[in-house]
Parts: sequence; C-alpha cells; structure tokens
Amino acid sequence: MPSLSDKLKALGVQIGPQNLTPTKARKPEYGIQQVLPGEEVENLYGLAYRITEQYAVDERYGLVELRFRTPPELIAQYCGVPDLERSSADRYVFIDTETTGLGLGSGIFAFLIGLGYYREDYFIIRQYFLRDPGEETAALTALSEEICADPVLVSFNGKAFDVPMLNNRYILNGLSSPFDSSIQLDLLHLSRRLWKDRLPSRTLINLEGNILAAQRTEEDVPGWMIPQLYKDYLHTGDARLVKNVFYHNARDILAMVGLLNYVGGMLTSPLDQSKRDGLDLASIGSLHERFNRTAEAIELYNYALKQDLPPEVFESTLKRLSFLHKQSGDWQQAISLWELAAQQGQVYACEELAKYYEHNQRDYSAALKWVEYALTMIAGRPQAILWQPALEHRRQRLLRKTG
Amino acid sequence: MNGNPDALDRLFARWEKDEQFQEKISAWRKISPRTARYAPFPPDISLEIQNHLASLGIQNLYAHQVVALDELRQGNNIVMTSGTASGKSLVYQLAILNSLLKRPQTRALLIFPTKALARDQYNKLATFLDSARISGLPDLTPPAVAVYDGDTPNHTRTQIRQQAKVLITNPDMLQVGILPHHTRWAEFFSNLEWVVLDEIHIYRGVFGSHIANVLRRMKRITEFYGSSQQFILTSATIGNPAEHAERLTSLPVRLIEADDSPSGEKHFLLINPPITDPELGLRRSLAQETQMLADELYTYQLQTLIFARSRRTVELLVHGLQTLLPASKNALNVRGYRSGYLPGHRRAIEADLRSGEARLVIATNALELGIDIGGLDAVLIAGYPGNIASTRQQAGRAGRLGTSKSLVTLIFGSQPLDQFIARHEAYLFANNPEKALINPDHPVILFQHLLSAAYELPFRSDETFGGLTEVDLREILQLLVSQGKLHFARDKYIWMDESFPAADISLRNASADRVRIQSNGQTIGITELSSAYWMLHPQAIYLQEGNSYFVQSLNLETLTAEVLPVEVDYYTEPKREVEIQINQVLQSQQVIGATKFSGELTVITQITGYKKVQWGTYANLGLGVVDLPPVRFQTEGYWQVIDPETVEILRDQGLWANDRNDYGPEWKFLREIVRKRDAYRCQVCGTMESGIPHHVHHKIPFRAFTSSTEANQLSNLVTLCPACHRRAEQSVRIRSGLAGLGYALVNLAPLLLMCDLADLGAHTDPQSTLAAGSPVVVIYENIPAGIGLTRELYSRHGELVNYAQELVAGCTCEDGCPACVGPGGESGFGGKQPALALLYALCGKDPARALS
Repeated sequence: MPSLSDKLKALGVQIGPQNLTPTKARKPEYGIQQVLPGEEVENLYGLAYRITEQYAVDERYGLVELRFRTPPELIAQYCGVPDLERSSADRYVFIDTETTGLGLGSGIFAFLIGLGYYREDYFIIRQYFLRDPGEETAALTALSEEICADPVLVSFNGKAFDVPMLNNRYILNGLSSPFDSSIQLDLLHLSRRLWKDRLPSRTLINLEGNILAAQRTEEDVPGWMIPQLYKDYLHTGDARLVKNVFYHNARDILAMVGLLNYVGGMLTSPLDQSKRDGLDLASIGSLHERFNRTAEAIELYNYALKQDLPPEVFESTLKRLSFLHKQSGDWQQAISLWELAAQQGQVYACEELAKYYEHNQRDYSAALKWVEYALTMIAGRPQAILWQPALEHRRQRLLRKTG
Repeated sequence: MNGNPDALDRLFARWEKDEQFQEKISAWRKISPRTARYAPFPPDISLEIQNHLASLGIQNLYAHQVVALDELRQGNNIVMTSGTASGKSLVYQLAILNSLLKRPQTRALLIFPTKALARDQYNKLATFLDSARISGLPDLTPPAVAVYDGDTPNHTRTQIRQQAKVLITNPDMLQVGILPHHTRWAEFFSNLEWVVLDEIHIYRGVFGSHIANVLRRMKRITEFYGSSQQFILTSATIGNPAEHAERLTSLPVRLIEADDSPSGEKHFLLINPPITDPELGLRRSLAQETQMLADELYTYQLQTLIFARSRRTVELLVHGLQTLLPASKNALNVRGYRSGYLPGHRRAIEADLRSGEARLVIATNALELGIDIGGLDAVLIAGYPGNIASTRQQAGRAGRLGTSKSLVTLIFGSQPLDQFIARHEAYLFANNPEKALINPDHPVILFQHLLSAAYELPFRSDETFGGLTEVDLREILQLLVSQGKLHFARDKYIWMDESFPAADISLRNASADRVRIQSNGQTIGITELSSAYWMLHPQAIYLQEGNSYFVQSLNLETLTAEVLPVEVDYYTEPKREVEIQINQVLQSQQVIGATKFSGELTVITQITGYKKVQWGTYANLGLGVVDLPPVRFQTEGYWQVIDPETVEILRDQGLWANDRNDYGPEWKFLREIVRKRDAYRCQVCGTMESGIPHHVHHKIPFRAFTSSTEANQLSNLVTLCPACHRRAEQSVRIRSGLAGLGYALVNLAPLLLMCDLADLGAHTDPQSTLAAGSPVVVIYENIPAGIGLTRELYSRHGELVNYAQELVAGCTCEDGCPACVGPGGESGFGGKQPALALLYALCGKDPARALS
C-alpha cells in the first residue's frame, strides 16, 4: 500500500521540504539566554522564560514623559466606567503580543507577550517568550499570576485582536483567562477618532513618528516579517533572529504609553502648545462634544476655525459648532455661523435659518427668502435630489402663511 | 389553495380515449393511497411539550416518528428515510426540545446542505418555537435559535456565538467559519448534544467525502471539550442509507425506513416520446414532449412543477412555454428556478408556489431538496434524473396534504440511460436504488482536512485521523514539520504557519472561484468558474428566466462576465476539445477481447468555439471561434485497449469501421513521398520520427472529395506526428464503432454508480498515443483527483459491457441513434453495427450476430 504522502505526490500535491534552510548544529553562543538574558519562572506547568526592562518614569519616549499623567476621570468617561475615576497608575497594564499569524483562528498563538506597568517610580516592561511552543501553558500561567486583579488593559487594537487571541489560547490550554472581563482602553479607536482627518495612516508606528516624534532604530522589524522570524528561530535555535522582535514589541508598548499621555495632555490642556494643529483641535473638540463637555468643545472649535483648516474639515467643524450654539440656545452665534455657511453654499444652513425665522421669529417672509435662496442654489445640481422635496414643501407652507 | 382532483380525473379520461397518447405510455402505475398509522407520544416526552403540540393541532405522532424517538431515547444515532412531508423535522425538534427541558444548557447543531434550506428550516423552527409557551424551557427567541452563515450580519455574530442553543448552518460555514474558530464557540461545543444532518443523500461523491472529513474534524473538537453527540440524519431513498450515514459520521447508525404518514393516490406515468424518424431512430425531442404535456396541464389548471436536468434546459423550457402560452407571460405565472438566480428572487418564486400564484414552474434539482413549496397537483420530470433517489424526491413534490390525488410523469429523453429504463421499468419501481458512494480517505480531500484539523488542535503523536493509522499520520505530519508548517514539541504537532487552511477547501467544486454575471452594471447572477467557460464564453447567448443575453466578455482575472440583454432567435452550444494524458497506471487486467486499466490521468479541455442553433427548428445558423485558455486537471480514469486480435476478427468480417478510408492504390507510395518531402518531421510540432513512421494527413478531409486522385494531391497532404494528427482529426471526428461504444458505456455508468452523468467523460481514439496506436476507450472522472467512480467501473467492467450490449442490441434504430451509440447523420456513418459487433466481442459472443 502506498502511503498518503506517496499518493499525494502522485497527484501533484506539494508536500515536503521547500526552500528550508538546512538545520545546522545549534550554536550555544546564540541561544536565547546569551542573546536576550532573562529568567526562568517555574509553575505547575513547567518553565516560562521572560526578560525584564525597567525605565524611570521621568524618561521620555519622543516628546513625552513616561510618567502616568492622564487624569483617570477622563479615562473613566471614555471607557464608560465611573469606577475608574479613582484608579491609580498601577492598575493600568499595557499589553502587546507578537503572533505566528493573523486572524483569530485557533491555529494562531502569541510567542511573545509584552506587558508594561507602573511600579512606584518605574515603568516595567516584561516580555514572556516561548522558547518552544510547548512552553505556552507555563507562560500563560505565569502571565495570569503576574497581572493584578481587575486590570485596565491598554492596547493598540487589543480589543479586536490581542485580547480575544489570548483568551483563545487560555481556552486551548485548559486555563481560565485573566482578561475575560477586563476593562479595555484601546488606543486604536481613540486615535482613529482624533487623527482621521490629519493622518492618512494611523498605525502605531506612524502615530509615534508623527505625533510623538519618536524614531526607532534600525533594530526594528516590520510586523509582517515577525511570524517568519520566529519560525526560523525555532528551526535554527538562533535567538539573534528574534532579538529585533523583542525590540519591536517593547517599542510598541512605550509608544502606547506615550500616546496615552499625549492624548491625556491634549484633553486637559489642549491649547498648551501654541503650535497645536488646527485639525487636532477640531478632533479634540469633537471628543469633548461626545463627553457632553459643551463649553470645552465650543472653545476648541472656535480656535480650530481660526487655524488653517482644509475646506471639508472647516465646513464640518463650523456645522458642529453652529449646532452646539443652537442646542444651548445661543441663536445669535448660530445665525452668524449659518449666514457664513449659507454664503459658502451650504444648504443645511439655509434650512436652519428658514426654520429659525419661521418657528422662532414667525418672520415668514424672511424664512421664505432663505428657502428660495437655497432652491436657486441647488437648481440643476445633484444635491437637488436630496433637498428639493423638503425645501419645496416648506416653501409651499410659507407661501400659504405669507398669504 | 386546494388541489384540483376533478381536473385530474377529466384529464385521465381524455388520455384514455387518445390513442396517440396511449402509444407513448410505457407504464402507468397507480400507487394506492396510504392511510396514516398513529402512535401515542413516548412517555419521556414531557406533558408540556405534548400540550404545546396539541395546541398546534398535533394530537398524535406517526408510528415511525415514535420508533425514531425511541431509538434516540436509547442513545442511538438514527437515519430516517421517510418521504417528503412525513414529519422528519418534528422528530429532531422534539428530541431537542425535550433535552432542553431536562438540561437547559443543551446545544444543538442543525446542518443543511444549502443556505436556502437552512433559512427555510429556520423560519419553520422559529414559528414552532415562537408559539412555545412551555414552562421550564429556556428562552428560545433569537439569538437562542439562529442561522449562522455567510449572510449573518457581522454585528450579530458575537451574540450568536455566545447565546445560540439551536444553531443552524451549512457545511461550508461549519468548516471555514466555525471549526477553525472553535475557541470562540467553547461554550457551544462543550454542551453540544445533538447534531442534525439533513438530506444526506446530497452528501455523496466529492461533497460527501468532504463532509465526512468535516465531521471528523468536529469530533476532535468536541472530544477536546469533553462532549459527545447523538446524530439525527435524514435521507431520500438510497440503496445504502445506514451504511452511508455510518461512513459520513464514523458512528453506528440505526435505520428508520418506515413511513406511516398518509399519502394520496398517486399516478406514476412513464412516457417515451414517439419515434419520428425510424431510420435514424429519432424520437420527438424531450423538450417538445415536455412542452406539449405542460401546455395541457396548464390548460387543465393543474399547478405543475417541471424538473429539468440542467440549468440550460430550464431556460429553454421557460422560453418555449412563455411563447407557447402567450397569456402566461403577462400573468408571470410560468417561472424558472435554478441556482444562479439571486436569493431574493428564489424566495419570491417559492412563495408564489406556496400561494398557488405560480402555476407552472420549471426548476432544476435545486427544488428537489426539502424547501417548503407546498404540494403540487402534478410533477413533470423532463428526462430521467440519473438516479432513483432523485426521481423519488422529485416525485414526492406531487400531492397536497398527503391525501389528494396527484400525478407524476416521467418523460424519457433520448439518452441511453433513459431508453434503458424505458425498457426496464421495473428497475425504477423495485426497491433497490443505487448506493451513495463516498471516499472519506480520498488522498487530496483527507489531506486538506488534515491540515485544517492540525490548525484547529495540535495532533498528538499517538493520534489517528480517518483511515490513517498512527504511523501513516506521523509520516505525513513529519513531512509537514520538515516543510515548516508544523513544529513538533512535547509530543504535539503545533501549527506554525501563517496560512488559514480551511479557506483553501471548496466542498463542492474543484475551484472556489465564482463568476459574477453583470448586465448594465447590475449583477444578475453568479456561477462557478468551471461552468462559466461553457455558459459564458464570449459571444455565447446566456439564458436566464426566458431572457437571452449576449455575452460581451468573460474576464478570467476579475471573474466577471459582461452580458447585454438581446432579442435573438437562436441560442449557442459550446464546442469543446478534450485531450488526455496518462500519469500512472494503477491496475490493469486482461479481459475478454481487451485489456482494462485504471489509473491517473491528466485531462485537458478547451472551449474552442460554438454553434448557433435556431430556436424551434434547431437549424445550425453558423459557427464561431472562441479564444479561451485550456483547463487542465488531474483525475482518475478507466480505459480499455482493444486487443489487435479482436480488431482483426472484426476487420475480417467487415465490422471494423474505425479504419481510415481506402486512400487508393498509390497511398503507400504517396505517404513515403510526403514524409520524405517533409523531412520526416511533424509539420506542426517539429518532432522527428523515431522508429514509428509519422502519419500523413489530408488537410481537406478525404471524404470531401469524389475521387482519391483529387484528395491525394500533394498540396493536400502533410506529415504529422500521431499526437498532432489526433488533434487535427478531432475537428473532423469520424463516427465509428469505437465512439459508439464509448458513448453507450459512459451513458450507462449511472446504473452502477450514484453519480451524475456530468461526473464522467468519455474519450475514444482508434489510434491512440495512450496505447501505442491501439484503439482505446477512456472513461474519466470530471472530478479532480477522482473519487473512485472509475475504479468501481473498472471492477464492474463485465457488467457495464453487458448492459451496453443489451442496450444497443435492443434499440430499434437502424444505424445509431441518441439512445444507443449516439446519433449518426452529421457526424458520420456506420456507427451502430460496428459498435454492436465490438460489444459482442467484448462480451465473448460472436460479433457476426451484429450482421443479422
């Protein structure tokens, strides 16, 4: 009987060695302990390997100090967890993993799990590394033991990837996950919100370059190379292959710290830095608006409108500001903004003005003037489809009212 | 909507007086009505459930349902084969509800072969449960009962994963969307008690072999979570339901085959269209006969479902009937139904069937599955569906509420299989339908799922998988380790690759690619790439619901076909060329008159052109050329090489029609001159002769000339190597006894195997390079890598040849017809007699009998 592999070969299915570097004798001088000195921790499931770095909190990452300085009440508001208002720095755990592939299938695992947390005047980075995939159970157990009870997990895309992926691994190893119901602060979502207009790419590495002005050295590796490097390490035992992955992981964690502090600073004192970008001010304004801090939002929108904004951001910021004024009943401010917008061809502004004159002032002819102005503006243009029926309806009503 | 029993009686009365009609009938069986047998609820079904059923009008169960529930109570797996509307779903609904009452955390998985069927069953289940006010039952409103498939919106998926108790899905979603992500379903798999697998007769061949492996993967996963399942399967009537169920699930399964549901009187009419041309053996076409009958049923106001054998025939019939019944076009009550229509469109047609709005629906076997369309007055099966299970499923669509009278008419086509059954009707009614074959250990299929299984959970070094022993499995896993896909550590093979192997598996097709059919920027349909080559080649007329579209382009990179709606009086038939190479001979044996082989082949097919055929007259309006790349695939085949002695005997008696024409006395000499002139080189590929002389080919076919002198002018002759010669000859194919033999064999193969005709192809060559110039008949599987169909044929060669001999000898045509060795006429002369002589020779009989 031919074996399965023979049959497959006969059918032209490619299995078997393919461009693999031949296994050489393992060189002890390039073992993990030599290249990346660390410690072994033992638990019920065997040994786990980890390395530790320590930074004083007054060190900087790019422009920003590592010290935890985001007001917890802001975080409480953002996460919607009031309890966090009184949280202290040591409850925050920064987390980032390096994995064997993408996706959340059960065939993907983290071979390097980096944690960052504050202890007194230090920021600690601890990286658990699987010298061999068989160490996973021990490593996950050690991780559970190290993490404080009820942590706030700070990550970059951890909500959608790192945390569910780790939860999968705990399940597969028959362990219960310490992250099951953790509060999460995902900086990816926050960054998208803040920099969607300003930065074309909001990957962590782009943010740290553009926002934190931090630079990585040549030691860094691009993310897509990482799975293959680990594979090669397993194959050769040469830890130099993964050294840069440790660097990459640690930098990602530091960048998260920097980013969180930067955002915290932006929210507490947005006008601090005179050179703050108008786009940032508009974004922070909208974040304040979301938190119902109307006064702050109005102030920031006003500042932003004085900067050099791209036309579409200018228009949307002006619109948001006008509606904030409308909500707080500050009609004079709203009207002057709408008149400005109407001049620039904004149909919504004409409609708002018409509403104002019709319902607040009962000045039907003024209202009619704005409706007719809008109708002329859109005549023969694509927006007509959107606006024409409502405007026409309003016009008919106003015509009746004006007799 | 009530049936129309009077109309049926009036129609029967008319037919009885119609002599012409009587002549067409090859059988008229009356199947007596069956009265229901009821039995009390089994004691373990809770009173709350019984009361709930009573409130829905269900006071009793059919006896077979109670037997099924008893088996389940004893912890057995079951497969039920009772007919349409016999209450199979109620059995699993009750079993699941009862478990949920006892153990609220119970989970159940319901797998339906198609998305459409899953939705249909979901709606029924939701209605059933929605009215459930059974105390003690956990909340079963969505998402506790949910469909999880490609159409499930992303934002509801997490909720379903966490909360679904009864999950409805299809095999594709299970294998690619659920199993590889089992950790996200940990709760579900830990408590999974019931697996329902509906319509398992569909899971045969490639599809079934995949499903068996998907279930192997699921079993590894549920074992990991420490749960075990009971299986409830349903099937149409097949020859081996229990065996098939056991091969799919790798578990012992009890067969419940009784059917105690009521059914009305059913008339089963077999119609063989009359012979219109006795010499050529031509019968009135299946399409014409179907249209005539459909016209009559429509006029008698009988709601009718017509089953056509192909998507293309559906369109031809819709077009024909809408023309024939002008009033229907406006009323929109003559409709088509097939895969390739958009889902919403199909749902609308199903609803119109239920409401009675649609009077005449022409469908492919897509409507054969259990989608609820209500019962119909009449079912018209246009052409034998290829196996008994399908025939019975389709017939089961006739009959309302199981009690009123209904009609099933099977109209035979001119294919050999149809005509064989027309003359052996007992085959259809005897209780021995074909077996469903699967090969869960098909190397390529097994290997694909092995990769996925390794992704899902690491293999331990003492594990087995499917038919693989520990040793076999370790060997293959070690290979994967050396390739870097797996890493071996602490007795486990851990997945170490960035790929997602489940995504590369296509459960039904060789390729997962789909082509989008666009008209004026709108998608009007979708079809698989392999069909697109012949349905949507440039300049083809693509038909959908009676409308014609001209194919402007087929883009194989973007996988889109651009079509334009047109009004034309013709349709197109693709022309395809086939070339075969042998990769490896697996078995061979001397048989009577020939040597049979089975082995691995490469089949190269190419659509090279098309023929325009006029509607109605079927006149050939011209040919077109198409430039599409050839498609190569590896498969298995069975072929026979006819012994030189056999050829000699036939030749002596003038019964070998595969020889070249008599090229005249100077031919031998001329051949020398031409070869010498061409420097003994093939003038197409440039190959030099080596030992065996090259062929000399007539550029304009010999038969096109009146004298050999004219045909044999040197300018008309050219030297070609055998391979190039064969290609050149393919365009001028000569009908011969050999081709007739191939035609009969491949067409009768479904008598032995439960397969579709489209699963097999035939290729014949009187001077084959596959057999050093000997005559050869190849039957190959259209399934990449093959599924064991031709191995089965190889081992049953004798039976097959005998069936074919019986068929051809019994055919009344004079010199070949579509029902025996293929049509004569256009493609050549002298087909039947030599084919029959060859068949006699292969059966060990005297070939000279073919002369009488």
